[in-house]
Formats: sequence, structure tokens, C-alpha cells
Amino acid sequence: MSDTDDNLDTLSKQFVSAYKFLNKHPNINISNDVKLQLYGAYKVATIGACNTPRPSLLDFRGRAKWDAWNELGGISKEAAMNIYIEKVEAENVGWNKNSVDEDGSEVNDGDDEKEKSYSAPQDRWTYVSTLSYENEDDLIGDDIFAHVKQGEYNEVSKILDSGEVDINAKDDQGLSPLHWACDRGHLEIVKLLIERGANVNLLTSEDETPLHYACLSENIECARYLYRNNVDISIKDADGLTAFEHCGDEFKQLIIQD
Amino acid sequence: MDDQIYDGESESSPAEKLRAKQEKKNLRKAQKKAAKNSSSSAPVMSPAAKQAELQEKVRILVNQLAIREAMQPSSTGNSQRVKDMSSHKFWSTQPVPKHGETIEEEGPIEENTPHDQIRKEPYTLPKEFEWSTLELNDESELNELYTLLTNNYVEDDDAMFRFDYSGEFLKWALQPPGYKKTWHVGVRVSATKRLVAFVSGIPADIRIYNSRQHLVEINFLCVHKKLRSKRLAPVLIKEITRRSHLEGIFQAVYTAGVVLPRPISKARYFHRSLNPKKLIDTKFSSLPSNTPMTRHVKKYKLPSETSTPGIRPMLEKDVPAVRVLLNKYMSKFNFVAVFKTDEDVKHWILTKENVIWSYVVENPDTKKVTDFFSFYYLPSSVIGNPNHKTVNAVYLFYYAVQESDEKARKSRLQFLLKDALILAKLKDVDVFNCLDILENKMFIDELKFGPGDGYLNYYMYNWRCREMGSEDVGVVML
Repeated sequence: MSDTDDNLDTLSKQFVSAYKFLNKHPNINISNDVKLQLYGAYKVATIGACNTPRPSLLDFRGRAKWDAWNELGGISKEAAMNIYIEKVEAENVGWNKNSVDEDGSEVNDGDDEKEKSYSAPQDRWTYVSTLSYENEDDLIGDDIFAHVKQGEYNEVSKILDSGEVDINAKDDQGLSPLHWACDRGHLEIVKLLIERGANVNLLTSEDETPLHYACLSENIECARYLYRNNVDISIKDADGLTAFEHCGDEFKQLIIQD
Repeated sequence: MDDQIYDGESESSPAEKLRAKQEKKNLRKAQKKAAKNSSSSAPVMSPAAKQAELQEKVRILVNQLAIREAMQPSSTGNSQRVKDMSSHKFWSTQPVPKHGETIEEEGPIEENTPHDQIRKEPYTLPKEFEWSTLELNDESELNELYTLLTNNYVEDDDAMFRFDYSGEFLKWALQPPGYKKTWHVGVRVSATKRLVAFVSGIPADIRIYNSRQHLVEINFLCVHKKLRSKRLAPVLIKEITRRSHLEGIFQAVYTAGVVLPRPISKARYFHRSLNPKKLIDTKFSSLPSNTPMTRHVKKYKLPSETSTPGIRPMLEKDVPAVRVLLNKYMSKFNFVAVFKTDEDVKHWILTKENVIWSYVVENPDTKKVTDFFSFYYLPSSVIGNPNHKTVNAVYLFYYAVQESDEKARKSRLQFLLKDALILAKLKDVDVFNCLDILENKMFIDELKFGPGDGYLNYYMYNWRCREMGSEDVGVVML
């Protein structure tokens, strides 16, 4: 066997081992970004350059996955495997390329103590169960709503400067940018939107004002700011409740006190 | 469940399936062979010799089979990892069923050891340690146990949450009627007398399929983090087994998150948010980036008052009625706790403030108790969060309803458990937890419980029986 073949052989063993490791431990906490990069590298390593049409706009997940694949362009399979291996290693989840033995499987010397170096929950004797991560629709675009949600003041400001958006427009869930800013507790963006003329009493599809959003999501500073900017506190939502009726007296006192 | 985003496909290759099948076949062959060998061996044999022979056989069996990964024969289809059997050095010496073993007959795996052949002295500890039976009525020893568990029971360092068992909780869990002090087994550093490991047993009555047993429930196995390499856990298990044998008990029940040889059943945790914002702030749960917090909060809002007519806190006078109700309800499951005396119910079910809460429904006309439910309080401390120290959690404990028609029972349970959520919320509880055992699947979705990342495997020691789905399980362990 030539040197190159040998190297390739080692590389693909490492790649297969890394991939198997991740699939064996589905609960390992890896960010969506890295997951997508891994997906792209896997596709190139096993299939080659992206060769399918881009999924429709509404298929967020499919589109994000396709983008991750396509982004790698025409790099070689070997390069893609290397990317995959390095990314898995960098995540520090208990796999590294040195743990691949001659047969291409993970080294397991049967010592329980060593196996505790990673912490997939199901391998621990006792642990506190928490809610499984719901990652439905977890990918967001780059419009004004996305930047408001993520608290990106400068981006929001830039979009408003461009004059190309209606500041009171609602997204597909019936929320305006001001609702989102109150929901996520981004006070500076709340101020910015109101200064630029956002309607402070705009209603969602369920008749909730931005104050409802600030109160229900317990963002007290946003609620105080709205309260001092002439919001109508008598508006009832679809449940028949005002914002203050939703949040309880204690919270209300904190909002209205000086 | 997580999308298979790493590769876009989840099926194992045909070659892998074939290999797994072949391994299973080999395993069965070897088992048959082992069985044959044992029947041809000398008919008169001391139990100790028999056990030694059995252990040797197991060792040979394990060596013969290069099983890299035993496939879990469970019907749940979850890809939970089953550890390489050869890495279960300790368990392969214990009377527990093997992964992949076909169970044809129920019963003990090894015979009861006659009393005069049970080892009289405790097992040998590494030289720097000594055994110490804990006296939990002594406040300072109770505190030592509390400290050990708080800091070491959840074993990994990067955990975000730790169980925060209170002293009262531990007394409730470890001192039921008929408890044996000698089953509160501690290990101390000889030089400093510091408590560094613990395991407990409590007497319990259970029914598994048609077999009623008085046995020991093993729990709170804990070794100090710094001493994990000393291999104390196997010695603790052997020692509590020895102490059970001395009391004439040869079967045990225990649960663990980890898969060992071999689970009777596997249950999953479910969680119902009562304080959704706090749960998100502490990362107990997560908010998808396109979901407004406001809608999330609204989704979990509850009425401020219960709605079942006649619901009230359980009182001591309700104990006999609750016992009858509970044992009757439990008769439909295959693996259950049996409440033999009113004393048991009084201890386990009756409200103890900040430990367990129980409620009954009294028919306003007949004044008879028709239903009850209970939940216990076990908070978790939050590690490294500037705003929150504790997540207040309750866990659904035992309950019973009378309704025999399945549809009516389902709607009754939904009503009752909704009231349970409301009552917990009024106690400032942040999350209501349960397993998918008993008839909990009848309300989990409707009452907005979400699946957890935690599983709980149920085990029996020295008892061989068929596996069962979690909906056949009626044992709640703490």
C-alpha cells in the first residue's frame, strides 16, 4: 500500500469513527451552527459537491442544511473529512482522532472510569432530567424581526435608516418589531423603535399590546418604559385581560412606581 | 427527537444488522451450551461452590463472545447505548440477567444462601477506609449524608443541576416502617472519619407479574467525586447485598439512569413547566428562537383554583381508604409497590410539609374517598446562575382512581392531574415531573408535559423475568 493510500485509510477511519460517535450520543449538546457545518462536511465527504436544487423558502431546515452543503463548494472528499474530524474534536465531547484504533473503532479498554470523561446523560447513574431541547424552526432569517430578536441594535438601526421597512409591519406570527423587542427584553431597541415612530398600542392577532408582551415575559424595564410613553393600559387581549391583569399586583407596582 | 442532522440518515447498514443478528445467535448458542454443562455437573454441590462455578461459566461466556455492543431487545426502539458487556466487569459476576438473554422462566437466578454460609464480616475496603453504619436520627450524621449527596450524588462536574435532598426528605426516604439501620451503609476515611461513600437499602413489598416479594430497595449509591478511581461502588453493592442476605432477603429492586445488565423496563421523564420563564432562565428548558416568550408563558398558564368537587388535603383518617384504593388500582400493572399496612401508607403517602403532599377526593354526597394523588418535593440546585439558586421541582408519586371504564378514567385523570398542577403552582413549584409509568401517558400530552432528556431504568437483583413497557410499571422510587 502506498503512503497516500495509507493516509487516506486512516483519515476515513477517523471520519467514520467521529460520525459513529455523534450518532451514538444524540444528546450531546452541539450548537445548530456546528451541526450544520458537520452536515455539510458529511455530505461532501460521502457524496461530493452539492448537486440538488435549493429547497423552497418555507423549508427553513432543508434550506439551511442545503446552504451548509453548498457552501463548501468543490472541495475534495478528503478535505471535507478533515473538516468533519476537526470540528468534532474541537467540540470537546469525548471524541478525538487518537481514540481510533487499528480496526477503526473507538478504543475501549473496558475501564468504566475512563468512560465517564463525556457526559451523555444516559450513561450516568443519576442525573437531573431537564426538558429536551425543542429545536423546531430554530433558524431565523436576516430581516428586521431577526435582528430585533437577537438584540442587534446597529442592524435594526441600519434597516430603519434605509427607510425600506414599515416599522409597524407584522411578521407571520402577527407580531410587530416592538412586540418582539418587548418579548425579548431589548430595552435599547424598544426605545429606538418608539423614537422612530412605532405604534405603542399596536395589537397582535390576539389583541395584545407591546405592554402585554413586556408584562407577560416579565421584562420590567421595557414595561416601565412603555408605561412612561403613554401606552393605553386599558386594552384587553383576546383572553379579556389587560397587561397588568396578566402580571399580578407586585409586578404592576414595580412598573408604576417612580 | 433530534433530527439526524449529522448525516441525514439514521438506519444502520445492512452489514451491521447482520452482524448484530449473528452475535445474538452466538449468544443463544453459548447460553444453551452453558445450561447443558451445568445440568451435567455433579448433583451434590454446596451453594458456594455452585456460585463459584456459575461465576466461572459467566466469565467463560463473556470471553467467548466478542460482543462489541449487545443490542437492546427492548421494544421502545430507542438507540440508547448499551455498554460493551465485557466492560461490565462487576455486573458479569452478579446474579443479574445478561443483555440479549432470552427469558423463558421467571425466578431467582441463584439460590438463597443458607444463613450459616453467609459471610459474617464486612467486605474488605481499601486500607485507608472503614465501614460506618449511619444513625440518621443523629442530626450531625444526617447532615453528613446530606452534604455527601448534595456534592457528589450527581456525578459529573459539568452538570447544571444537582438534586438537593433535604434532611427531612432523607429521613422519609430511608426510615419507613421496619427500616433497618444496618442498611444505611457509610464508608469513612479512617484517619479523618470523613464520610465519603454511602448506599442504602429499605424493606419493600412488591409484586412482579404474579410473584409477591418482600425485598430490599437499593438507593442513594454515592461515592465522593475524588474517590471514583478507588472502585468503592462494587464493594458497597456487595456489602449491602451481604447485609440483606443476613436479614434473609435475596432479591432487590433498584433504578439507574445508566443501562446495566439488565433492565426490566425503561421509563422516560416528562416535565410540565409551571414557571416557564424561570425554567428558561436557568436553562432547564429552552425557548425556540422564533417562539415569543409571551406565548410560551401563556401556554402554561393555569387557573388559580382547583376544579374537582370534593378535593382536599389527605388527612390521617383517610389512610385506610387510600390503602384499599391504591392497592386495587395497582392490580392492573405488572410491577408494583404493595402497601401491606396502614402504617406504610401513613409513612409514604400522608402529607409531610416540604417532603410529600397528598390530596384526596371525597364524594360530597357519600363522604367516601374516591380518588387520591400525591407528589413529592425534590428541588435541584442550579449551578452557576447569578439569578437563580434553586429549581423547585415536584415529582408525581402514587395515585389512584376508581373509574373502571378506560375513557372515563382518562378524563378523570386529566382533571385530577390538572388540579395537582394548580396545587403545586400555588406552592411556588417551578416544574412538575413524572415518568411515563402507571397510566401517566393518559394525561402527559393533554396537560402539556414535555419529554425530558432523562431516562430511568428499572432493575431487579437475583430475579429473572420478562421485560415490560413502562406503562406496566407501578413502582416509584425516589
